[in-house]
Amino acid sequence: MIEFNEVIKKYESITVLDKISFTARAGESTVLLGESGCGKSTILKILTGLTGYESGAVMVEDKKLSPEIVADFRAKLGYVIQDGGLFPHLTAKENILLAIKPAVSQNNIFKIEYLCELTNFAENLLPKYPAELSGGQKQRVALMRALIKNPDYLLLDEPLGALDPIIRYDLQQDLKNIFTNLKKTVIFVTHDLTEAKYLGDKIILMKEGRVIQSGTFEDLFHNPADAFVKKFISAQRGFDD
Amino acid sequence: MIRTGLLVLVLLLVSCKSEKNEIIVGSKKFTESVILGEIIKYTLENSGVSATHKKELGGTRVLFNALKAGEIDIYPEYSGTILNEILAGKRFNKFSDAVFYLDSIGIGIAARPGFNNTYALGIKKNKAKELNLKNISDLNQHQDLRLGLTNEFLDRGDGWKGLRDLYQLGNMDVTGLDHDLAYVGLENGSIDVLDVYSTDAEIKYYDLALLNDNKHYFPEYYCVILYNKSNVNRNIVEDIFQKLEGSINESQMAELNSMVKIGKSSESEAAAMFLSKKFGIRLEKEENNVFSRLVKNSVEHIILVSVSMFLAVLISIPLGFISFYYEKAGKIVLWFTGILQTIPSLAILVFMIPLFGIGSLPAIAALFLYSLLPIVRNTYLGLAEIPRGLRDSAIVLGLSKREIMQKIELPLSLRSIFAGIKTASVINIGTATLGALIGAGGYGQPILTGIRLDNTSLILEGAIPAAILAIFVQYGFDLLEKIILPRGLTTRKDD
Repeated sequence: MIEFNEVIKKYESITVLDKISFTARAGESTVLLGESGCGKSTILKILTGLTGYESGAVMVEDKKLSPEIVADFRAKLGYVIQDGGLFPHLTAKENILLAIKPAVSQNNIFKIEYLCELTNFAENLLPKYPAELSGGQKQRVALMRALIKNPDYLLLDEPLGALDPIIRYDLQQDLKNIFTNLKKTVIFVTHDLTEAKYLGDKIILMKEGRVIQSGTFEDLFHNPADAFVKKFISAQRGFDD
Repeated sequence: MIRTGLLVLVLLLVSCKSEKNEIIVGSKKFTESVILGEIIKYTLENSGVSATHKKELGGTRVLFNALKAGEIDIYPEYSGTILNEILAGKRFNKFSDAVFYLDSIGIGIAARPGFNNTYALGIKKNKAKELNLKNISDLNQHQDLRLGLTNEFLDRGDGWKGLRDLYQLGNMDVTGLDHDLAYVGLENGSIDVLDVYSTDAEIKYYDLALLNDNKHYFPEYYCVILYNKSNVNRNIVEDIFQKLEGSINESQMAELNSMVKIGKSSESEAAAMFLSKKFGIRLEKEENNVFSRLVKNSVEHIILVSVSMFLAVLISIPLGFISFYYEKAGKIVLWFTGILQTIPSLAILVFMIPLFGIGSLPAIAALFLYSLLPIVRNTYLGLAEIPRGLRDSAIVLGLSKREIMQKIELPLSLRSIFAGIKTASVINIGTATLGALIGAGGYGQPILTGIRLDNTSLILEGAIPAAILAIFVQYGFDLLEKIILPRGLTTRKDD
């Protein structure tokens, strides 16, 4: 379980997270939803230890996330960013296996063949370099790299943000399957309501560094907390209907 | 790779210092000095002592300091230069006092060849005969003669003014003009008398008589061969050089100068001619064709470039990483290497002499300093260009700092680092031609000689191979880049 309690984060004088509180329950998929710049990616940066925070508490498995335990926590994390973050000088396979130390027992890691099947990635593409892969293929490789150590937590920062609609649709389905099959604790960042509805057990709607409302999609749809929630939902739904 | 490089470096350093029983002859950057250097070298070799001649090392300071420091063992100097330049601070009146002092700091005189290379007044031989002019004082009776003097001679304290007063030549018509033009004026009859150096090559060519300085007005510039007493055995030197004592007079030296400057012979040919005519010494013809010179210059040049570049690469890449990781240190490093780059290359070379003496070592040090900036800056830029997301991904994947450096940052910045190395090498190859000025040899040697003798083909003998080397190195790096750069950075998805 991951818990944010009144967390404040500033970049110099600008407040990007303003007393954020929410809980991501184990085995569930929690979606951070909001427009760009609302602070949702910063939450993932704090969880991965890439940045710190000013006040409040971030609790991970009932322990306060501190620089001392962040390395241990990273070992239980899979992290995927918008453009995949694949290293261009390494092949798909090398990217996936980069962080696997030869000395470590191979029992705790997934077999690469299994991951290819799970993410719908053709095995014969494994020797290819990222520049030789399509956008969707790259994100599948990034996903395999995040999953290889069978992590407890999966942090996905707009992983489908840069993809064409059809490829995006396919990947959404694959992700849904993975979430259902592997039962990871997922935090998924997106600005797309449809994606949030489809992939999230719980949605945290954010605006300007604050949580506006959290709950299931139905909660947000039927009982919008304020005019912003109502507007946000109706503005995005217009395209789906 | 590092190990082989260090081995090369050690061998080079050893080769710089070894063979101490070989006598190193030095010479200044003008023809007469180079001819004398060749004469000294051949005289030693003829007596069974092995010798090398470091030609055209530069000016008086460089040569004298190198002699004192034992980097060269022997070189030709002039008494007037010793009194008025090298030991000017000591204010010796007599040359014998200077000799005594030199002896006390470990420098001896191996021989005094006898000629005096000082200012003189020259006049066409037939004119001198016609007017029966022998001494400068004879001009007093012929004040209608027109003088064409160089501006330097007109301005110098020991030039025209003193001469005019001493010999009472106040009524003569004087024109100030360029030295080369003075010869033209002499030929077409617009002037009659000009100032010359008493061993000028042109004296023979223009058939001049020199008027005798019978009141001893001009300072004496007698040639003296200086040697370092702790490096060269006194008895050997005095035995060998005894025969050179008083063996060359002004007109003979002028003839040798003329052989090289006007007759286009080499300095070694002039020296060999002198020794065979004077002492019947037959020298084995030295292998000195264009090809063997080219090989020698190439080897020297390539060593200068490759050793300095190797060291620069070895130091610059870590410096680039430090600059990137530590902002404050980085500013200092980039500022310092930037400053180095703004110093003119010739000045850097000269600054290295007090630290490393003369030869290839100071040249390598200067070239090394000169090659730092392009590589440091490109390493820094290469690292700065790596997208934030890639570095974040590597950190979250749990890679250690060292792993990130080795597996991610180095390969990703390699293309930029390569570009820096390429730029540095091309600059380095060009700048290394200046190394010849401080005795490092290389392609600069024929360029230097070519400029001195106004010989275009000699200049090209250095300039063309240097240009070819630069192109070749550039091409070589392009090839190496294709091999070394990770394939993922060069391939693209073919649509």
